[in-house]
Amino acid sequence: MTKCKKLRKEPVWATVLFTAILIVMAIIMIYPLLLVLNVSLKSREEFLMNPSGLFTFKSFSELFGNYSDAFETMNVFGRLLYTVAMTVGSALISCIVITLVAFPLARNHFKGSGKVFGFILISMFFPGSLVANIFLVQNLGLYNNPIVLIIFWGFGGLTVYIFMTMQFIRELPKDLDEAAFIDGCGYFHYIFGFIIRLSMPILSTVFILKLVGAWNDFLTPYIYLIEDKYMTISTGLFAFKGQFSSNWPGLSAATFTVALPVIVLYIFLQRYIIDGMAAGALKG
Amino acid sequence: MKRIKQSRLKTTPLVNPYIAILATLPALISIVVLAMLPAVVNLAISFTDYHGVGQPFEFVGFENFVKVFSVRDAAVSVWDSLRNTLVFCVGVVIIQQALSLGMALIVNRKFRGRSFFRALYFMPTILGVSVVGFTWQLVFDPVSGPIATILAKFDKASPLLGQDGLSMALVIVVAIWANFGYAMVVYIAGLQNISDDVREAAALDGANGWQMLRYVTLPLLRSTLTINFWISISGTLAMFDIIYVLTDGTAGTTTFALYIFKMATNSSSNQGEAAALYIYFSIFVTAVMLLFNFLFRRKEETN
Amino acid sequence: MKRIFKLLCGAVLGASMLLSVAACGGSSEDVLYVLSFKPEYNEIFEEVNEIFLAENPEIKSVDYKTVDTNNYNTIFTSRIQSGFLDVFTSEVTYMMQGTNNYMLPLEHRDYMDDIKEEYLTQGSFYDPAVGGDAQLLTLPIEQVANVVYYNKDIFEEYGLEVPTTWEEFQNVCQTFANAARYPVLDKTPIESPIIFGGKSEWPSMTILNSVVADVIEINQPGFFDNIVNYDTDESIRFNNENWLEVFEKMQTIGTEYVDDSIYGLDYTYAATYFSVGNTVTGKKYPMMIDGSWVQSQIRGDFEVGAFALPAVSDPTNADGKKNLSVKTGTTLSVFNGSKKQQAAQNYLEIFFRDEIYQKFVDFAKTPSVKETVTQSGALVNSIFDESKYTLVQAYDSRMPRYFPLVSASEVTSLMKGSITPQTVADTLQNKVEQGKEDWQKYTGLSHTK
Repeated sequence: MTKCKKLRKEPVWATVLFTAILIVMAIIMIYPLLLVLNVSLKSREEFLMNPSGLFTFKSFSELFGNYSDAFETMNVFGRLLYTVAMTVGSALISCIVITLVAFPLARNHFKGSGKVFGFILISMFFPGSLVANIFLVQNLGLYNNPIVLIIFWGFGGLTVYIFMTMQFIRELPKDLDEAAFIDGCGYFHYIFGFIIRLSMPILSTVFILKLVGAWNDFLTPYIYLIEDKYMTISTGLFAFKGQFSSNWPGLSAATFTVALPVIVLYIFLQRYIIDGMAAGALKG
Repeated sequence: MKRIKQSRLKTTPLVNPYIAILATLPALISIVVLAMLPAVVNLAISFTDYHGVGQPFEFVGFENFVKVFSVRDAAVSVWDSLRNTLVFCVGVVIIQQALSLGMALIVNRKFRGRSFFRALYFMPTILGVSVVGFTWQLVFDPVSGPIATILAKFDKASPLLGQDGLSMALVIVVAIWANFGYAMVVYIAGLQNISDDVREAAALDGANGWQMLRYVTLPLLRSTLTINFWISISGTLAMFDIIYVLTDGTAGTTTFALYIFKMATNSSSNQGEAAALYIYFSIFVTAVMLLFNFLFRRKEETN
Repeated sequence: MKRIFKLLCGAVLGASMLLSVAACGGSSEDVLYVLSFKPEYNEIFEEVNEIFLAENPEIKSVDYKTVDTNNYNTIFTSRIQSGFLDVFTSEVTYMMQGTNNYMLPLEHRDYMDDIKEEYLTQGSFYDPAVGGDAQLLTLPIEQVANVVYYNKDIFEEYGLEVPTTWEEFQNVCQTFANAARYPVLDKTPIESPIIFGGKSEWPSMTILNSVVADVIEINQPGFFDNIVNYDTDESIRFNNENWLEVFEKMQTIGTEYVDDSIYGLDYTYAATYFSVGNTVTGKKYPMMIDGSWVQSQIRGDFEVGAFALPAVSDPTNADGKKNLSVKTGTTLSVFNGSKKQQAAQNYLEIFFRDEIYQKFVDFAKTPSVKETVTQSGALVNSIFDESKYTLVQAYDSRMPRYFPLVSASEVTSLMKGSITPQTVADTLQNKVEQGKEDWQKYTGLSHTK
């Protein structure tokens, strides 16, 4: 289908302006990270003498000296695996729990499902209270137990996503369900086998949002977990700040080490992430 | 959130309702345990002067609800934090939405490399708060940071994050930097949803760029705008972790949420007061969101 | 293929999750948890850790953590609530303000006989409401003073002497302030007369303590001892003319002698920049107001001196000397909920062994708390020179339990000029008046019976 392009050519000045804006914004987006990288490659003395210039190359060991310190202090690889396990795991749990509740409600599979819907709606007005959460975690003896991460991340803050998913499921054809049930398909079997697959668009959004949320949440592990080994990557960076007292290069190296895996992953997955978020947000 | 009338009882008799209920249980239990239980506990604590596990406490009635408003600290009071919250919220939301909408319009044009730019602008949203915080602390270092270096060329110096007023502006900048990519992506999706035919029609009618924007694009983006604003406002009201990392609330950057956080995590403070403050906070946020709903959802429906 | 990959991922994920969850639980019996807010002393503690592990084989590892002073409270709270704590650093102030509830009364051991009496007293706690004997709850490892460090070379260049009165101090500061604004040819350029960790807020208390040590102690000696008579003595008010003078002088120092940019400086960098100056502009900072604990961090290529800030026209006290604001600094305690109380106390013992403690004293530049260990540093001895100075307890560490203090954020705001001295004074007085019920029970609280 060819479009009539005669009126749509953009004036040159507009193109120039927009391109300039794009470039300026791009610089603003990336500059801070480049700065961190630059500083991390300097030694403490070099940084003091020359804070804003480009790092100088003396030897490989000196260049990456801060990084070896950072790696040692923060145990990046071990922590990475743990963080991924916790965040991905809880995001998966969220998706499952959400689908399990969205399906019956969207399809009105039992009497009173309207009331349950109302109940969930009301719960939106009860955001979690830190004071109460600390109190509960303490008194239930769950301190320093990584299960609190799964609990808060996997089972918390689901309301909005439940609605989004319900909305989506409503648009799925009912006939498929009926056909399956007539054929004797088990309820849960159907959910896991079909609904989840059909709801991929919305679920991948939920998954990603939950994942990023958990990844960024450095406070929850900070407050409830004590031991080093239970710190996630984001928390580790914040908690170890004390070890980098008056050492910007060291702290920069640590920061960059934490940011790098995320950036790398992002470069590979950005298409899916962005598309997923866009699609999901609209349907909500 | 439209209240959808559940279609009455076309429930398939093929489905055992009890099994269906079973399926909903995990979610329902989590809601009760993670949303309602803490709320009840919070309410209970707000009537005491609980100081922490193992310490004696007593029931003090409504005392906390009044006490929290007394000025305990000439530098940071509850009222200051409320004002800061408003400033922070309005600043971030308005600038962020304008910026992301603007960038979305620019990025949405057809040109080579547009997905690169889209991805680049979105990237800061996936960096952790601590990474963003330390990165910008470095940028804002008043002696060795790049901004300080530039200022020094003009023989000036500024405390940046230590300056009352300026620090809030800087914090807003960082908050926007770290989050606008998300709004932008949503706007782009919304823009792409507008069928080209509509644009063509408008263009044929003689609409130029600006008119197109005002009379065609924006109205059609209404629902996207609403979503983004909703997310932005509710997120910003509750946001405090970025402020915590950047300034720890110093120099007039303490927002209400941060104020409560510091009180809740301070072992020597009265947790009952923190709980009472939290209740005020919930009411405040609910009120704002209801107001928003009322104003904007109505408009959306009449459109 | 994709299916298998997915399954594999799922399995790995699930396994790691299960492992992490399973491998936790209560605090380990064979790990010693040490929490400190003094990253400067990491080296020394690491040595103690090694020796401790060698001598206490039942403990497999030492979990030694240092946290920022600003975050210390949060972390400490989590630790005591969860039980993951054995040894921790504290201060006498904290002990008096409630941390005593978490400190284990230390059993007597031989090494304590070598610790000077006054320090053992400082670390002892006696609550008249509870009665009984005074208990040793925390061991001071250092004594610290609030001082003004100065760059001797720059002082000489500008022809300035160490100030001995408030007016002389103002003159010195003003000279530098002028030089900062109007650089003097072929003299070292000045960035700010005074540098300190403005962004971290708590360092402003070190300045406050020095000012209070002169203004209150000289103009109204006995003020603090008379808190007991608060109800009857009208002059014991925190917004009286002397306290107003304190806050006014703080504001003068903060607005006129401290460059704006200093308020964006994190504490950890103050000593570094004092040592090398502002590396971007090449200008220097002639004075730094800080504590005696920071000496090890001052590594400049100039001669460093220190003096006590003179905050009144005639700071000579009744003994003919100048007041120096001091406090017993960091202390070591054992958590009373610890499951390894003996091992924890062993840890303390190792720290105080002569060989180790000598290293600490040399490193931290503090007067020694032990008879058997001496401090030989010239600068630190000149600070704690008792022929020149009377050591006065710092304001923020001598108040009765639960006594409301002016907060670090208030003092910093005051110094920036954001709030007025009158506001600070009145707020403080209000706080004191309103909290009367809580603190008056403890005005009789002393270290020993």
